Amino acid sequence: MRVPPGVTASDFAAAIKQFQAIVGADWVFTSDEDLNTYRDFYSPLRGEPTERVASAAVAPTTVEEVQAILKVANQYSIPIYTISTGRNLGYGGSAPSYSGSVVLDLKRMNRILEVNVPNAYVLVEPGVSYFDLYRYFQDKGIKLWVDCPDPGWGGLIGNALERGSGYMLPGIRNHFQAHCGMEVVLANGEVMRTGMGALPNAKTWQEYKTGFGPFIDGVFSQSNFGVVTKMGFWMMPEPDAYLKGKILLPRYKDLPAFVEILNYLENTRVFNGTPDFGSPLLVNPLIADWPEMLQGDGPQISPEHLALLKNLKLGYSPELEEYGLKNKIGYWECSLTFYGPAKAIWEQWEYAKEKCRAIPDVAFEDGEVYKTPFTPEQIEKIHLPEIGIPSLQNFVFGARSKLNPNPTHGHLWFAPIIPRNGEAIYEINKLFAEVAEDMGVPIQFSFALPACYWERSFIVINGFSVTEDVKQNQKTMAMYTELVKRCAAKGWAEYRSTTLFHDEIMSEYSFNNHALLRFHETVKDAVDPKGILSAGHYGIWPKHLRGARK
Amino acid sequence: MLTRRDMVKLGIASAAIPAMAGKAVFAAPSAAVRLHKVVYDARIPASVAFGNRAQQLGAPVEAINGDVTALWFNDLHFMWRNSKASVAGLTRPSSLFALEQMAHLAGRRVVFRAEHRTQAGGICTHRVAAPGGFVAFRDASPYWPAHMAQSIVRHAAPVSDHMRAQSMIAAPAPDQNVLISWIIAAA
Repeated sequence: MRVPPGVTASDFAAAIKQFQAIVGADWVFTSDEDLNTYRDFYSPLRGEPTERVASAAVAPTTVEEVQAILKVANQYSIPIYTISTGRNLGYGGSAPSYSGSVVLDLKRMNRILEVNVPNAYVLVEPGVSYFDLYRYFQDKGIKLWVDCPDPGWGGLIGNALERGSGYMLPGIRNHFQAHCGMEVVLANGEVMRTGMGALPNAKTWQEYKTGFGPFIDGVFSQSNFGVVTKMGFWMMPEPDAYLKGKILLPRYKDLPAFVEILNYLENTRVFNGTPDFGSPLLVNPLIADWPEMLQGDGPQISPEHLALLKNLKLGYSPELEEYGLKNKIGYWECSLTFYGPAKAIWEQWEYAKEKCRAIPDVAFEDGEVYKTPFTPEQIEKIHLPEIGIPSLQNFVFGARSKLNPNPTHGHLWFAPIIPRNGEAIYEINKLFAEVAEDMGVPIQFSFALPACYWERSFIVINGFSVTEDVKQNQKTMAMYTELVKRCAAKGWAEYRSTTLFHDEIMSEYSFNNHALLRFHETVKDAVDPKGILSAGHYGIWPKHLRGARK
Repeated sequence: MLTRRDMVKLGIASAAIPAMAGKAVFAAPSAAVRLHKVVYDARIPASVAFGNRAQQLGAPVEAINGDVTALWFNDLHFMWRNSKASVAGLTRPSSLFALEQMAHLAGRRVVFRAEHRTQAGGICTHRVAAPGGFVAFRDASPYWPAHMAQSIVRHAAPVSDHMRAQSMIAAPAPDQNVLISWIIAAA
């Protein structure tokens, strides 16, 4: 049996016995066979001595069991690492940040506690997945949409606490922002409810977020200050209709002017779904194109076009631009999504087009207004999470295709937040190219386009490939580290990352001698003095491990 | 309520597979385990050949286009709750990776996994997962997908001890030129 670091074998054996008494022997896992499930399937360290692994896992079903487990963990100073459904591919999976921790697996806490249709909210436990909630809505004919990420097998609470996103309305697709009220088991075993939930017999726990006094929900996201056992979420009521339109920009230099228009249209809610960037000329498809790609082999590219893709600088060559102008292939494209009354969203699309006509030679592809309930044929044409349907479709695009000729063993997401302007898009691509050249690591895409999940900022999400080649993986990790540093020097930083880089990224949030991290540590020491909860997660280490890590 | 097996999302069968180079992969019929469905990818000719042969042999088949969502959501989710039947297929690794994750949540495992890699010149090499690694086997025929279908359908599920494959969830393998034949069965 593996033993957590700093814990004696006899203490660990005693703790395991007590865990078994709490949840039943069947729900405490210590064999290599069982613990393999808690590895990170995308780890670049897979099979290496430095791979982060669990020493055991324990799976409670009730809040009381969570409390009892934490009491035992405190008694024996056992490091615990909390997961809900344990997906998080590309961000560390369910492997602990601090190798050797005992995984507290909340998958069995999978009850949908309340669904309020008129006011469109739910209250759920951590083991409830997007698929579970979607199935519940379908079975009961509930006309609420659950905003889900790709893939949709994760859990609402885990994804929100990691600050994941989906695709629908701005306040809904930001999954942490969409939450309303939480229940937390603190490290000392005490149960706390936030917001209106602190009011005994509260009637508005899932209807008003901030309660009275400091709004502290945020400290339980991307952190290790407690174990969240319930969360409320606002859902999206099924709208009258859905529309997606495409804007095609002919020239490389069109991005800055377009982003200004895009921002205005989003900030005034002319469109309300996630904008989606692509590049027909650079053969970088929209997410909205996935359904079409599933039916075929992707876009058809002429030999001339393919040849022109070989000699680009930051995704540009005058010849490629000329080819695009001649053949009416957009350099950039952006799809806008509209949810609302059929008549209104068509007019909103018309207004968006009117604004975009300020860009010379801009072109448009009108989508169709689909009224709900959608027909099966309509559903086939839509990227499913955009209409509240969880899916595993995105794994298809890991397969070999024209667009992905060298699929890999997974990836590490590198996702810096950059300003919402066109110049920043060119600037970060310039940085990617410089770092790639300096480090001798090829970048997969000639030009990285931003994602627009969050309002007011862009995320540029790159998946760095994990391979079977240990040395290649080391090079990739070195490049990741270098990018963290060089992005920070530009004033950009990552919103989330694989657990392997939490320390490095947090160390860049260093204003005023790391005042923010020092505050995190002050909170950590106060609420978890023995440091049992998810040590090292997001760079927050308990006192007894802090010195060695800095 | 989940069972313990629902939680055990991985497992490595411990029995050794006999040396297979040059021998039939399926040495002996296993105890009868009903085959609920044979899955093939309608986009891939070898996979279609696999599905066709399985259907000829009387197995219920289902086509996917790489995406396993509907197969799992509408069918396997319920079947895995109520039945011990097996599911088999010949698909890209990415399809199996997604399906395997859902299977493990339902207490099912990949009990047989063979990799078929197309090499330069169109030759396909084959190897089967075994404890400690892969073991190569020969099938130089272009009809290897039909042979695999035949073996899998006729033997239902090669879960007798000597054939039980390494069922640790694999890291996703690159899809390039690779197909995987597989059986998912009760743990």
